[in-house]
Amino acid sequence: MRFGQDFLGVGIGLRREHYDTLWDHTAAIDFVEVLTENAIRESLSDEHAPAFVRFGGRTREALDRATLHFPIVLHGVSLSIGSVDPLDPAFLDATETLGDALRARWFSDHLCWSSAHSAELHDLLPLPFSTEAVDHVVRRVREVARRSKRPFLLENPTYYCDVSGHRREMDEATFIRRIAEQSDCGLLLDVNNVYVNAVNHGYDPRRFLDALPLDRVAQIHLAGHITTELDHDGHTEQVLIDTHSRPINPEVLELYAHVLERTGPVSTLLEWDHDIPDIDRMVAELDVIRVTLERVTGQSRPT
Amino acid sequence: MNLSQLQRTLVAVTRGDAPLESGASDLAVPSHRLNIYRDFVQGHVTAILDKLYPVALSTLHSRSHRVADFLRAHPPGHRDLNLAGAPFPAYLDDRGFAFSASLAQLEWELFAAAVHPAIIRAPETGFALNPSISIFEQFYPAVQFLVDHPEPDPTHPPVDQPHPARLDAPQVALVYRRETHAVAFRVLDAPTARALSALANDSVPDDADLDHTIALGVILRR
Repeated sequence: MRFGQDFLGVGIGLRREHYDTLWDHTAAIDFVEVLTENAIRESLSDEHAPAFVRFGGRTREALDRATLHFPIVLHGVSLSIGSVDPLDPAFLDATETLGDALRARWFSDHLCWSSAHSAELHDLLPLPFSTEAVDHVVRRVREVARRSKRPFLLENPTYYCDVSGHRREMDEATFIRRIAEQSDCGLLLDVNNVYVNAVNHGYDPRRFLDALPLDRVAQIHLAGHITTELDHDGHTEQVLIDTHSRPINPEVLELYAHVLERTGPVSTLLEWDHDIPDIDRMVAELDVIRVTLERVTGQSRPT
Repeated sequence: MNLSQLQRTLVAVTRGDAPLESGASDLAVPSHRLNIYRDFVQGHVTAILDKLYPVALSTLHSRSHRVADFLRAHPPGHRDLNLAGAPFPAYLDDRGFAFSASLAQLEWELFAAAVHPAIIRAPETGFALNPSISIFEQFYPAVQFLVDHPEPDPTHPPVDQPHPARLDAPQVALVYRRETHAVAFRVLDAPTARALSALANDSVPDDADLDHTIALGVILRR
């Protein structure tokens, strides 16, 4: 049990590319993660329909089928927990309804913001490491938790620039710790994001991990990233970009082992959202994760 | 700078409404790092237009300029990225690209049918109208164009071909999703029009019209 949640084993995101093939691999995949925004949406075709409806078509068929084969967790990208705009109660209600329908174990979103001042950016924008941001996010996480009967996890996102400016009041790990502890939420630890941030901002990822409240980690994300070169003042800087388009970097797997040594087995999801390979390749990558889980914790499957 | 001011600045910079350099200076961050977010934010909308409107976009010169102009005219205001692309047909029409607008309208309806929340299933007894049906008028032969160009052909880009002439009278296009999840589209034919009209008047369609529409998947019967 992690933060009161079962160890679900290793899983993948439910993606359209695998709607036809996923079902032949139910023994190799322990759970699936459903992207909230892929499963509910504002009605496009009926002005009398509820504000948010579940998808029809192949997505709905796949969701219904997934509930028969796998434990499901929900993961969102648009809650915008750090936004200065009000939380969207219709979206929260729709997420809860979806969670009920899928019997989702928990739901998660990112410690960031994606919309503000009525503008939607559809990306994960960084928060400053400030007391104002801590207090703001804590209030909103508590509101989210009040509206839901299932646990809420916050994910540590990547950030490509530190927007704390000259008023940085704490480091990133302290920022996450304070929010998690004051709001009493769980954490979805994205180990690839830790690695990407550590390289891009020049810090020691192990020291960072050790400073997190790892007792609150109920799920882990692993993914691949790319390296890009950016021109800046006549110099070239190498920057890692979290693309979810590659196999897991070996150094990320080492960090994953570092986490597992401190936590024991944690439900672990392979994220692959761009250039998605076929299901056989996904399962092969899951096996790599499973080997690490088994080696470090002695357990790679849920009991 | 408080949280609200910070988010207002980042919104303006990433949408291209404020200069990158001044935004970077205000936020005390390197401009090349801030530019990553600008590329992400604008790239998401470009990608969704590519996904929703591949054929309509293939009929336009200065495609990237057109996408950037659309973003300025219709900044996204909804969490669903697909909805950010919803105004594209109207945008094209406003800019005088009437044929491309017809194509875009058809492509949007194809997407809407694919994700329509209804379960498309024949009733146990009797028959029922397919709930995913969308019917709309078009003054350009977009349906035939999409039949002829289901995917943009890079060796024969539609942008280099003359656009069809405006029709004297509008065509009625019919889009719907079949039980198999495949999305179908066609110009509304006379038997289907008669059957739909009969149903709208709470009447039973003629047998021949009924058989025709059941074969198409417009009316559902086991």
